[in-house]
Amino acid sequence: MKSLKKPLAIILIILLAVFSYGCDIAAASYRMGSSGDGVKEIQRRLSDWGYYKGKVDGQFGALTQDAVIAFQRKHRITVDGVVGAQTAEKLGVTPPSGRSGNSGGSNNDKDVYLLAQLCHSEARGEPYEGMVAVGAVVLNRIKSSKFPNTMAKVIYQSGAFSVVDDGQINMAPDSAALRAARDAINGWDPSGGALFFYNPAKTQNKWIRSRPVLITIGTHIFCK
Amino acid sequence: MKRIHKLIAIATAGLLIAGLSVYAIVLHDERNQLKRQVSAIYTRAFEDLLTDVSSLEGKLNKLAVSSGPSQHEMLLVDVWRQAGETEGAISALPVSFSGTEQLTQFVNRAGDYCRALSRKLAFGETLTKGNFDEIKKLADSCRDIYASLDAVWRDGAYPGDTAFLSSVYMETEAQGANIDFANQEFPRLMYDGPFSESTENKRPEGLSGGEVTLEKAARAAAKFLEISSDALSPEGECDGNIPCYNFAAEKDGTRLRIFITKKGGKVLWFMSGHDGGISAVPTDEKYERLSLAAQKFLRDKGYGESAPSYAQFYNGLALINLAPVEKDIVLYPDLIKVWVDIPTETVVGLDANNYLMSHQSRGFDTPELTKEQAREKINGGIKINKTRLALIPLESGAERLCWEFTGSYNGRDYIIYINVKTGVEEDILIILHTNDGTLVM
Repeated sequence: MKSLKKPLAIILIILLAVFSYGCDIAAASYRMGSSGDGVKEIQRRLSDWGYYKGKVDGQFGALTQDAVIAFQRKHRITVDGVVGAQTAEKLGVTPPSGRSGNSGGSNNDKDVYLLAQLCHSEARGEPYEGMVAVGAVVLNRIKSSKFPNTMAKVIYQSGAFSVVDDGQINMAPDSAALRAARDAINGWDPSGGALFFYNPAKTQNKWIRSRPVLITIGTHIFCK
Repeated sequence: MKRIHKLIAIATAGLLIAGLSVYAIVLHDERNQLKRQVSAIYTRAFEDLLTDVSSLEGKLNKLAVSSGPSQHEMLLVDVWRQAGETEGAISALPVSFSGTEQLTQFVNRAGDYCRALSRKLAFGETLTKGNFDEIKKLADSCRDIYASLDAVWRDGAYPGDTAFLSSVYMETEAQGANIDFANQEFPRLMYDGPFSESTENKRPEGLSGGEVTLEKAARAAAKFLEISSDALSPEGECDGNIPCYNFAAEKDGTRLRIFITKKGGKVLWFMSGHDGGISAVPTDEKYERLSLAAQKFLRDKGYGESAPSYAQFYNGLALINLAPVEKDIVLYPDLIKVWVDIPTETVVGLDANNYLMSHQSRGFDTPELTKEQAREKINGGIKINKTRLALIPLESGAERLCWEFTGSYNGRDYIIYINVKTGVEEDILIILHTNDGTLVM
């Protein structure tokens, strides 16, 4: 019996931790009467985005509630004046998790997410413009007559990107990758019109090494 | 006792081997099943391609012999659609870029060419003999392509057989030659469209003067960023569509990057390393202030007056697209992107690529249609809120001066462009109000 006590205690502690974590999430909705640093952060964001005109004092009062309601209207989320998970995520006060980081659900959003996955898996750790340049390569291919004409067809084209073959593309993109995808879709092209890129330390492919080089960003060489 | 132990050991080992064998058989079965499924998908893609190429040829040939503009227009649109299908079938093949590049380009251009011709007809023009000659050539190319694909098909044992698949698709250099069209002559098409040679090889119009030195470019960068030249460090060059010198800098603790064109020493883009997390939309009042900040920035940097077009909000930034305004005409081909940090309302990035590609001194046609005459060309149900003159880029890269009407109909917002000369409705855009800002479709 004695030997069972220790594991039991550990399980109990884990359960308690999980339970209290759950409680934390429940408490993470701020409403009229709430106060503290969390409220302060919400007020600061609302004020930065033009919704809140009052003092950033950490007291959730009528002015804060009005601002939250205006914010919810503008973003077409449930209008209740309470900062729950959905409103908090839009305000950026709790980190977005998984795919919910990019709500809306239009076709455009799917393209943004897929491109962000590619930028993240191919160029994480690269300078920011290097990440955008990877996205720009995809956009340049869509525009080119020599490549397929949609995001998915270009990204999943056979042999086009190694991260598709090894599954790394399925990683969740971080916020920098999501921004890079949007910047590339909006037309910013730091690659100078490149159709290919490679890491010279990782490829022996003669064909790609013979393409005319446009620019080197971080460890990637971008070429025509 | 010892014997029993031995027996148990042998039995266990036997069971283990039997179990592993069963497991291996199951895995092997699963693997074969997956292989069959994958090969079925690829076989289907290949058969689709054969069907698509043959119906593309059929439609082109019909077009070559048909008479009358209405029949032509229908068939041209048909060819364009069929080319799209064919392109889809090619992209589904497990063949990499170098194996499909030629074929994809042929199909894309053939479809694009026919679409350009159908537009020509829609605007009242007629097809020339030259057009028909080219259509005939396109049909002939399709026939040749079909023959090569069909030969591959016949050579390759049985459809769905993995040996067949590897003979056709495996990406070794020798075998890739099976569907290599590199040596085939495809007709060169002279026309204006997004995939045409003239559009794909466009040169910048907005740059004049000779090549500047690295030092001069550095001075231009420093002046633009309002920092001292010492704070800049050269970071190589970009040999892209617009050749540039690249610089890195640090300002107020933030990392900046700026590209200066070699020709004329202009800013191609600059961006600060900023990255916030929030993707919310500001209030209208706040957006007004953000776009005023962007307009002021452009004015201060010598781009003149500009009008905000559409905006996106992400990562704590507003990306505002601004069109320069000249003689009360909004110049959409010269659209400039400006990134504004939402909390501080400061400009953190700029992309002048479109501006440098198309900005030039232009002679504008005097509108033959008045605002009111143009208004009559529009569907009467639309409630118009705003009218102004705008220069818009066409897909072909050409530009048209139009009356721009912004209005709403049935709960949706529209922008309609009426050619000031011909009264033709050149374009209709729908304004989408999404969670991340406004977009045009």
